[in-house]
Amino acid sequence: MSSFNEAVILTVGINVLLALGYWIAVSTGKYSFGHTAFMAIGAYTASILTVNFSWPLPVAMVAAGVTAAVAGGLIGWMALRLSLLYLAIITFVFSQLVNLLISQWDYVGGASGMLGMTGTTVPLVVGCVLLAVGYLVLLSRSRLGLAHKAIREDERAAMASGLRITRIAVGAFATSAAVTGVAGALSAHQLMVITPELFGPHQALLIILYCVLGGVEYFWGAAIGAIALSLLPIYFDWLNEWYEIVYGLLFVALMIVRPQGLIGRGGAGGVRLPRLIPRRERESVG
Amino acid sequence: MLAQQLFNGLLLGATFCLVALGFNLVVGAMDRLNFALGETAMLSAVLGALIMTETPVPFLVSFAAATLVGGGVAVAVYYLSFRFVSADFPTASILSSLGCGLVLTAVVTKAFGSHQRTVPDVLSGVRLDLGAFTVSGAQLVILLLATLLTVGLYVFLERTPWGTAIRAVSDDATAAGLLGVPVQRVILLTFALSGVLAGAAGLLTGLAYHSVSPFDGFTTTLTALMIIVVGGLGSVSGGVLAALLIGLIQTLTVAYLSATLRDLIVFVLVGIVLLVRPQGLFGRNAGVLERV
Amino acid sequence: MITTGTAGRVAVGLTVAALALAACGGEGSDSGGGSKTLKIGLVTSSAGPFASNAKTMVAGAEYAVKLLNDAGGVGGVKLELVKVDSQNKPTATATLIPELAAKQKVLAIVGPVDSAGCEVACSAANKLKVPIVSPGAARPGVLQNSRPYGFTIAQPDADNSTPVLAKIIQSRKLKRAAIISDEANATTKAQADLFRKVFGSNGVEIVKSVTFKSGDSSFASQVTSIAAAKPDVLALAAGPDDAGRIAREARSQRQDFTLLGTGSLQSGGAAYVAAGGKDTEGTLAAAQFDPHSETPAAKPLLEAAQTATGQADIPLNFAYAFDAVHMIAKAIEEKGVKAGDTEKGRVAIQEALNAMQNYQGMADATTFKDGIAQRPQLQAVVKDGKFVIDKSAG
Repeated sequence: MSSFNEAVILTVGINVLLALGYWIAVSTGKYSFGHTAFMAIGAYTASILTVNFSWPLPVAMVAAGVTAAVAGGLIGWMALRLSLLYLAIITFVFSQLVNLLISQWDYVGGASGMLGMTGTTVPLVVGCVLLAVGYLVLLSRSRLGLAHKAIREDERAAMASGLRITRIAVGAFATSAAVTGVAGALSAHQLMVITPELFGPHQALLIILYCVLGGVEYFWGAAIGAIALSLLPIYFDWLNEWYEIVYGLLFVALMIVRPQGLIGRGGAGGVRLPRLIPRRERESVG
Repeated sequence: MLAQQLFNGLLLGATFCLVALGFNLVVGAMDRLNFALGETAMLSAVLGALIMTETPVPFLVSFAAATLVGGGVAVAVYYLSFRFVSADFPTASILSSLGCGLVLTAVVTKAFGSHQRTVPDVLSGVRLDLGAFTVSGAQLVILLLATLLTVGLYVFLERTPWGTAIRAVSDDATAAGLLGVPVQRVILLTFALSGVLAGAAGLLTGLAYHSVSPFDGFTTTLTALMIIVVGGLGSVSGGVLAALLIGLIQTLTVAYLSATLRDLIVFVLVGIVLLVRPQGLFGRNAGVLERV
Repeated sequence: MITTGTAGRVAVGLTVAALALAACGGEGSDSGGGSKTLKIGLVTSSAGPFASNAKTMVAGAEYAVKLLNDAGGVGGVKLELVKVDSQNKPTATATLIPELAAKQKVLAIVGPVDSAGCEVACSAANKLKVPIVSPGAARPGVLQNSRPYGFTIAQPDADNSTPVLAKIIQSRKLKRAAIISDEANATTKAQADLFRKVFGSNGVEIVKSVTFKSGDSSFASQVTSIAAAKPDVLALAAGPDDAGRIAREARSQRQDFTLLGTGSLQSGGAAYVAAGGKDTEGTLAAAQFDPHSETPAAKPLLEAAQTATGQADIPLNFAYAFDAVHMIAKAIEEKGVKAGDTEKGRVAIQEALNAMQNYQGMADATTFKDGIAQRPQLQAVVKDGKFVIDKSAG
């Protein structure tokens, strides 16, 4: 495989992982505007471990995932009971805080960042994506997956059905943070250089775009969104200087034609309850 | 020095105030946020600065042009990102207006380059020495125009039929429609007004900062968002007070602590306000948050 | 149990078709390996704060290639510039460098112009063993991860500016200094540290240190604080745009202290003066590039470039990109690299660049020391709306 194809697969794979991780949080209807915080935590944890303590990358990735999950659990526990706007602002503030702390922390190079990481390989990335997909396939067929959906569609009804919505949502948020952290670790070891700038609002927005472009209803919608948005700039580089304008107009047009994203049903969108599985929904009440 | 710093903060707050008011109008009318408003302000400021440097017309003419551009762009954004975008998907118009913002920034960098554009001084000869602090001519112009627009907006909303219609739609669009208020036209007017305010804010901010950069848009949006959360969504007087408060906090942080902490302190303030007083420091209507 | 409506299926179908098309398009253009020309990659960025600098760099590189090709190419073979656009996104750079290396099979790469971009691009190119020359990256340690294949023509301020700044302090008898810097930006932070060191070792008292955040702030508060400390010099550890606005704010508050900058301020001189207008007059700075050099090698090149571009002052990034292309061309010629011989050619070019001594080009003499160019140490002052080299202070 040429180094170009390899780089394309790495980039697309990491972005798919980011989108899948984000989708886990979104599957409970919780939009975070600071998922880059978990990406940064994962990236820096793994980089410190591989560069300064010479840990092997896969082990460091596990540590990155765990650290990010702990941070995600904490933030989720604080903020998830609040509405969309609250959660958006608190997660955003959290990501800014993480960014600021990293840029002031000389041990990791402050604003100039860390370098010397290497070792992201195609099998590693593909393996992580397959693991995440496997988990999500199981999740969407499990009662937990249904619970996520119930919370997303109507939080009050879900609570009335006896779901412990805070616990489930915090769990989902922590899992989401873990996957994002692992993606951050992989990304750091692909780029070989990380600076706090990499994990700014721009990147946070990209992750949300992957998910929303593909549609938030099914996890593979998010994956397709990530693949499309990662490949567009690589293969449509002839657009060159017009790229950003075309990109922006694409979003404007898409939101008029398919506000629910590429994948997903039309109609009343997230408000209407899905008709797919009425019987099982009953069961979860008891 | 403290007096001078307080004045600096007030001035910063006055420029924040206008764009925050623009946001608030749209939130009131549609319960949706126009994320392209910061870029609207930036585009108006760039064009206004261009008129100021390239033509001999007086400042007020370029200022009027900037407000017109702002109003026009806001109306265009309304048609692209709100009018025909389904309200059932809360993310749709957010993404769409972000897309508009991206296009505006890209168009400006294509047309005028990515460097900061200088905004020439106005009334550079004037200088008021008030003992504890001094006021330059440009600062005087900024304060005057910002106050004029804010008071003008307040009077418009409270005392005219169209202003009453805007408030009616913001309270309950369905009921207002049933009572014969032309809701679509009122919303269009609201967007145009918000654009006018954003355009004015853009050029006045440029005047205060001496320059305008094509990448200012997102920062402007972010600051405005923080202000309307602190002031209470949809509240005009709350927005004004919060803007002045945040302007002061930012200036004093920079003067006595560090610029690195500036945004962080504002963010923490916003977080505390959200947890303790979710309707905003000066807001009355807690219900509005649920709808956004 | 995944089901979608008709619309969903159509959307999936469209996406898949689009992706397949994109992939085919990619394969179709893959045949670039056929070697009639000597290919040099150019990493530019049409977005972000360095878009203008990148544009200047592209102009310089294109001009250099045009001159070389008009003169018959290198060893009778024409050069071809392969441009890619990173949009100022590090993640895009991570695929663009492999694209240049594997798909386009370039012999060497010029760019990116900024330090942050160079860190990512140069590390990636070094890993793939492609020589890469940045015409502008000057952050300390920018090549730490990119040797032996990474090079930069801009010398970091710390080494280049220190002696010049010391000379300015002594000749102007400066005693009380204030420093303004952006602590969250690696480049300006390094500039502030440099100023502190120079002031410390020359007996200048630092009476005030203030910070700002790049791009978005009013400087009224900072300048008010500085004015209260009554310094006789203000050290600008800031990007050129921000520095220009600081100058305007200082003068609009009727402050008349000397303004002092590092070499970076002079290299962004046009932007500084554009942002600061007449308030920048008299600003002193260290410099590493003279747009009106009198040396026998640089003078004709600069004059020809002035006629060709219609610019009175050739910008630094233009000259550095021009020299970068010429150095690569010289390396190709010296080692007799053939167009098809990509891998061996890259090693040869790298060795030739590392061995290059005292290269005389549009930007005077350049010698690489561990990949970093050693540049002339000059003193510059803003006069009549532009930085001019103060030759008497040489």
